[in-house]
Amino acid sequence: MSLRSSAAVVPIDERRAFIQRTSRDGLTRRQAYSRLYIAGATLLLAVCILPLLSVFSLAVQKGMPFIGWRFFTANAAIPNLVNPDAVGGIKTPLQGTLSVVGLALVISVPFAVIIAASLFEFRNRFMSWLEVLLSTVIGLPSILFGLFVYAIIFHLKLAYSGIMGSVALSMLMVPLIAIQSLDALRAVPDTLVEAGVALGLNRFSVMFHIILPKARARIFTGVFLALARAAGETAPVLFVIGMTNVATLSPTSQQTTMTTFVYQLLQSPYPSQRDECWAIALVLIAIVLLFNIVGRTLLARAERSK
Amino acid sequence: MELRDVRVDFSGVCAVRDVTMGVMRNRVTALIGPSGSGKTTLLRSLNRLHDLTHGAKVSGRITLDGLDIYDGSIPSLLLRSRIGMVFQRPNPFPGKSIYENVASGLVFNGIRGKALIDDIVEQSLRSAVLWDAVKDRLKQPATDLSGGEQQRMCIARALAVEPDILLMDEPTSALDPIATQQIEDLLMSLKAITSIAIVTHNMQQAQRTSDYCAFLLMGEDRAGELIEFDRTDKVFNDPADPRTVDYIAGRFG
Repeated sequence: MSLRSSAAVVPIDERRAFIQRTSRDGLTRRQAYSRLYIAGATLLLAVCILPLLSVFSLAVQKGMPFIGWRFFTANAAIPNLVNPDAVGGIKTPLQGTLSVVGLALVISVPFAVIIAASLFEFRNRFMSWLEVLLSTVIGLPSILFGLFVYAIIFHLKLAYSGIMGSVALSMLMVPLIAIQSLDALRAVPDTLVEAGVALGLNRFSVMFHIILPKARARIFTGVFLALARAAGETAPVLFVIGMTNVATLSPTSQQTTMTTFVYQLLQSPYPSQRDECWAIALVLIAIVLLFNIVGRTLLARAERSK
Repeated sequence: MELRDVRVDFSGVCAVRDVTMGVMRNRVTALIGPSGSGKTTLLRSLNRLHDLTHGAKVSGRITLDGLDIYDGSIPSLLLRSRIGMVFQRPNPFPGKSIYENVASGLVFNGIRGKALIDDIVEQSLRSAVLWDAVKDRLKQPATDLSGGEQQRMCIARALAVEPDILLMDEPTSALDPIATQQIEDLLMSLKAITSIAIVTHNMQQAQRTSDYCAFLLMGEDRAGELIEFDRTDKVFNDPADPRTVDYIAGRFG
């Protein structure tokens, strides 16, 4: 099938018929490509989801029997030969995580927002270099933060305590929140900033009364995503928070978090304690999921109100 | 193209309904009405663009040469190669040259042969009155063109596959008066080779360019309705519905 090459002499109807014929002839092939693409994407999706699903189902299957009111309110018990299944509850590590992560949040949000605001305001070589550095820190293995704080404790002869874990976690959270906040600040339309400047507002007022309120939802999103990340981290806190069997929210005493508790339990000779790890994993999944959902809901709402 | 009792719903909320009209061969059909009256929604149902919108549902009958476009008798891929579309804002494919942009519809539809494609690209750019301005820089990025030129290039891109119908959604709303004038002049000459359905806010534009005119209005439940469809001179000089009289006299909207 061909068409005379000089389009100028081919009547429009003939050319239209030719194009439509070619399009129709190739339809089966194009639809096949389309189906192949959908099938391939579905297959790859399944490959991605299967391991996740199997971990999740294992956590539910092995962990669910432990879950109950007492699991959250009781202190850990020590199983013995008479009572090999008496593992008690997770009151201590639950409060530990709350304390360590909560304080890390209090430390990191002001730092992160101020860093983001500075990166937004001052655009020079040093600042863009700092931005690259921050993005790099996000990718560092989290155990480095633990090692760094451990070195500080060692050299200054400080004591292991929850606050040290909070410091290590904030080193992880600050860059995460700062970079997300920077994106949030940059997403604020210039027209809004210009409207403020034109009214005679100074830079401080423009930042705090116009840009930050507009960017707030996206910043909270970053905060919640960072929280989700921090709550699930073991390595940064493992060496620096010590260990406790007494539930406390105090940042100055030694702490056990959910993740370091799992680390302890895994070394237990009792199968019941090792199975308990799945229950803790389940609780952690629930917490991380919750933070993620809250973060993403906020983001979706921010996008909608734009 | 015939529309009978066409209705579009988004997630159960009616956006436009009761539309019975036609898009006549080798004529310009204008869709006019105030904001929110469903003009764009209606236009986008003609090439099944709502397929991309989750929760959108088109009911009623839309036929092209007697075939229902929603019952599967025309695959949507074929349908869209027969119905071209030009959007509110020029949307050249980024990273592609002027030539590649205009040729893209042909290439994706399986048309091969450099000489043939060269010819059609030239022809389409000529039809869009852009050839003389760009013939020496076809390899340059399409995004280098001015807004008006980009929009005419988008028209050329739509024309290249020789569509039976060209849908235009406020094609001049992002353009200055001179570029608008050029596009309007273009509509007159495009009638010879295709049929056009055009959404416009601008009543003078509808009056200047169209042969037929559909007037839509938002009803009390915020859904758009077709008030009147007739020859343009009839709609503007002797409208049948009092609401059309009011709108054309500029009493609202």
